[in-house]
Amino acid sequence: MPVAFTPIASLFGGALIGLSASALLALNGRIAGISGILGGLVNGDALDRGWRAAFLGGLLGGGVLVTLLFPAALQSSASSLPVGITVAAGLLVGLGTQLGGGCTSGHGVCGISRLSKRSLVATMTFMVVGALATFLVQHVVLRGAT
Amino acid sequence: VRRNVVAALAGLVFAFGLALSGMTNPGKVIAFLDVTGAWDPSLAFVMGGAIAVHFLIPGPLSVSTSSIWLLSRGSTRSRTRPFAGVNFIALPSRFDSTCTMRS
Repeated sequence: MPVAFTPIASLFGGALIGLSASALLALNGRIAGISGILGGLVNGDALDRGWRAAFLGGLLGGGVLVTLLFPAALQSSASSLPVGITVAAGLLVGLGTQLGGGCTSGHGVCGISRLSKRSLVATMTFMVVGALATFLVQHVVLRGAT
Repeated sequence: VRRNVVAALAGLVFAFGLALSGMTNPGKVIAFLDVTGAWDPSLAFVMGGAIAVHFLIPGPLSVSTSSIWLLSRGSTRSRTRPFAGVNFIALPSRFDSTCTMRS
């Protein structure tokens, strides 16, 4: 399903994400990697859980606020998949981000901003593999199903 | 407490950024990755904006601050090396309970 190209909104949205990551690094000395923050909440040090919970609370609270104030912003134009597939995809994301040490935020935004070669390689890898997986699902599996 | 307030506000701003950029719509993420379909390069603008701001703020110190932070933590616990990566340095674990940046 085609979606509108939104360069200006996306650029400003990205700038907000960068601002959030900068604040967390400058004031707390922490990397704003969502997968790592969530991972540390599940199996990290108990002393370290407070700020992780606070960050994720703010993230989810922001989602609730956006839903209340601008419901149109959270509409999805993706074709809905069975719950089982979505759960399996989420598990794969968790496995991959723990194995790769980061996600789009930790490697893609924070890592590349720090000029980390490791993050650059990770980002290129998951973008390419993501594009391959998308091709398979969108043009082979879903086309075959309809 | 102050640290948790900073973290919560950072999370809030992050959420607004995701929503404004359109990344809360799975269709837009799929459209970015679907290079052979109706390609939507918006996500590249999100990353561009985020990286530009995070690279520049808080000023030219951004990169050196984080380098110092990483180096100062290097003697504690290190995360495991990537399984394919003898050429990568082992980064400090995210799971350390103390932050030495401001000590």
